[in-house]
Amino acid sequence: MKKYLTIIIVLILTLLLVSGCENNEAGPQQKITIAEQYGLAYAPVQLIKELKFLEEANPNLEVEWKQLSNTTSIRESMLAGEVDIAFMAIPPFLIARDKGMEWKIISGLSESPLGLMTNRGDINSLADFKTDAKIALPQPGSIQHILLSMAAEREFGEVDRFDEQLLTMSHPDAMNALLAGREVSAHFASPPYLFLESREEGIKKILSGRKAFGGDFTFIIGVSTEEFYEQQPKNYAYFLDALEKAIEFIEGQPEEAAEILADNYSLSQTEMLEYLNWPGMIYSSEVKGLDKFIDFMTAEAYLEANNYQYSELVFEKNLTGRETASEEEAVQNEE
Amino acid sequence: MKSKYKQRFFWGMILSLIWQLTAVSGIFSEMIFPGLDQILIALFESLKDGTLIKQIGFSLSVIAQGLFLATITALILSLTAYFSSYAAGLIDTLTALAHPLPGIALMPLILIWFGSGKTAILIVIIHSVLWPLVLNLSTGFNSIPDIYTLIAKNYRLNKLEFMYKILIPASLPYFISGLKIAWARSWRALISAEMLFGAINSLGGLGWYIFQKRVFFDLPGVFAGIIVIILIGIAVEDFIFEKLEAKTVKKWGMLK
Amino acid sequence: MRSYLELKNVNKSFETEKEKKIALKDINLEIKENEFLTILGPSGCGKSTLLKIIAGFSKTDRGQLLKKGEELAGAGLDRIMLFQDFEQLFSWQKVIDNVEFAVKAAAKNKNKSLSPAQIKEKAHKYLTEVKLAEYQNYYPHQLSGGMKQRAALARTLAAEAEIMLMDEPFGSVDSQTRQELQQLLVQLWQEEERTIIFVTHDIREAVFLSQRIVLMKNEPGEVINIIENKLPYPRIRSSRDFNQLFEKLQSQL
Repeated sequence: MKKYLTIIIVLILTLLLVSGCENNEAGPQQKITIAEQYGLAYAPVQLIKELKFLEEANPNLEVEWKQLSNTTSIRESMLAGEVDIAFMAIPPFLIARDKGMEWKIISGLSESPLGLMTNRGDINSLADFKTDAKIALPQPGSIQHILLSMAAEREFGEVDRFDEQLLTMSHPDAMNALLAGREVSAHFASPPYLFLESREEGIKKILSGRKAFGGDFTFIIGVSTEEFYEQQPKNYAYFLDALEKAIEFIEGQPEEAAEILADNYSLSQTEMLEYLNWPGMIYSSEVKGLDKFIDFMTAEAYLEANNYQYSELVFEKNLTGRETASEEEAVQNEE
Repeated sequence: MKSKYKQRFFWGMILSLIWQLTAVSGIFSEMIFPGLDQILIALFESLKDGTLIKQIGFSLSVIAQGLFLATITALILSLTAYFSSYAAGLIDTLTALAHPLPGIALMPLILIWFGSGKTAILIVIIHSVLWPLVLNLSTGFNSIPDIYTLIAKNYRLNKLEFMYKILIPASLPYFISGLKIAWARSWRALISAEMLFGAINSLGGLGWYIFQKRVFFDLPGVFAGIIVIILIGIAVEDFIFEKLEAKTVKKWGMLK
Repeated sequence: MRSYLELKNVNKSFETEKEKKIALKDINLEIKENEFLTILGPSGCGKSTLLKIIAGFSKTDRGQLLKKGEELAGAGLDRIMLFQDFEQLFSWQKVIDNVEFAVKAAAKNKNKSLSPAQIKEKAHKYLTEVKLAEYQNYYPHQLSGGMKQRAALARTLAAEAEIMLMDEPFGSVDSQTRQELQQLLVQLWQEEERTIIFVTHDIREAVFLSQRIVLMKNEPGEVINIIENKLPYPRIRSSRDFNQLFEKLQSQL
């Protein structure tokens, strides 16, 4: 009896082991893995998922959505070959690209209001920040960090003026801390946290992303691994189409989009629509401000290389449109 | 003892060679598997500009503080449990509840109650260390030969005298072995906590250093940090603990 | 005449789940000052229990313990115990430090204060008496069984107690060492003026060492007889008188 029991147990264990291995053998040609992230700025991507644009375009395509909590994890998953397409801000993309990560931009996704929110009555501008006031933002090298540094450079000539006061905190944690008046004096927030915080009494915005950057910029861009681009050109094209469709949908039919997305964001449809229509919340495939980011980050040694060709950063087949290309490149492309 | 180091050195060289060959062969992309040369360069650069030294100093100081506070608390708790059976019941229950909890699991609570930063990290360390110390000390106290209790009676030692003349020296082997476990656990907890809290930008310790490298996509830097963690771990075990044991329990023939 | 140490009606029983065991029943004993007394009996006869009661480590159920007419309250430095356990020495201290421990305790007990040099000197003296001075800087784990007991003996002496209680102290060493230690003990007793109460199951040991032998039996633990040993010191183990007394004792046990 014992002998049979042992054999059965060994068999079960072996089966479990083998089944674990099987997952790694997914057919390379018909699968696309997209990183899914929470945030209003990613709404069009959410639409692709909800409305099944990809499955519509190619019924044979296996679509996997991976929930990953932050840009760094996404980057690492892409490096490991587990994620093909993801969305993030420009600085993290540039930093990895600079270090040799083989990925490029496929499209812009959204421009968004961003803001430095404070809970302190005595702080009304950057100049009011004393060294004990802590500023929460997602991580060093994030767009919020870069924007803050840009503002610091412009206003005080000290790009790292606030570096010692930064606290790495996820947006939800930062918002909680800010509202509780505990530990942080300010939070560089993005939607929806930005909206929620701005509704609270005692919280005010002292710096907008736009002012910090000194103009308009794209908040979130879409990137893909070069491997995916080269190995699955057809599916890449399907994704671009789906993305274009989603962006048009959300800009053209916000009420319907709000209806579809409200549940996913745990908001009421009214709130959802309000957020989608919030001034500054623009969904577009353009990529604005890329050069300025590159210049700033190279000057401040976040990036080493300083001579990027547009084609090194953006796939040939992309949605970005020509406006951001430099004159020379536009001329080159025409030839 | 010398042959142990020779062996380690020998195998260390072999492993390094295998690593370097793998890196150079190109089986894995340079991004995932940097060569030892890149790692060592990253290490030396960080050492040269002082950032690494600063972070190492921070980590070590936090752990020293944590270990110190935890040791004192553990001593107080264990001694109280030894002398009072009511207290023993309470402390035993506390230990049974708290010991299985990894410090990281408590992080959300700690964050809410203490905020991020050095205090939170200290608490994580103390929690990781306190319970194994209490367990080892209590076991140690209860394991001293019964005869010492009789001797103490004979010489009419009061509780305090009994404590520092007999109880503590007699249970030193248990204390040291508890301390070794405590060190190992706290070193790990420290690095993880520093990575997760990643609080204050400039000074966050070795874990924070690695987190920064990770975020800035500097894999050689990450590995450099890992090497430092390993080296410090070995240094403490081999130098500090070995010396400690040599001067005390080895000398006294009390090694368990 | 008022006796030095008196046990009146000492009774002790132990209760386990199953039974109540009577360890000691109606023990009455008078011990003279400076005498060498042995309590002899098989294992289980309660002799160690009796010794522990005299030492004050446990309490008697009924009866009294009197020294010079006054009741003894608990343990103290007037009655120092020498154990059989090698572990009685503090393993974290050198031999000399172990002895100094007792020297300091004795001084404190008598309200005397000694300088560190004096303490060291005294400890050294006791170690010399037990012929262990050469090893004074050794740690207990470096000593043989016999040497450990010598060191323990030195420490016991250094406590300068009127009464020395010995619980089969030589039981764990080989017979040759045991004989050497017995000889040493008799010498020391003759030099210092102490009362020694010695517990053993070894008849020859009792004959060699003591002036009076208290015979005990077990179940329940009772005194059978008290025999005087008038053989002159030092006793010769091979002598006829020695063996006669041995046989006499043996027959009674």
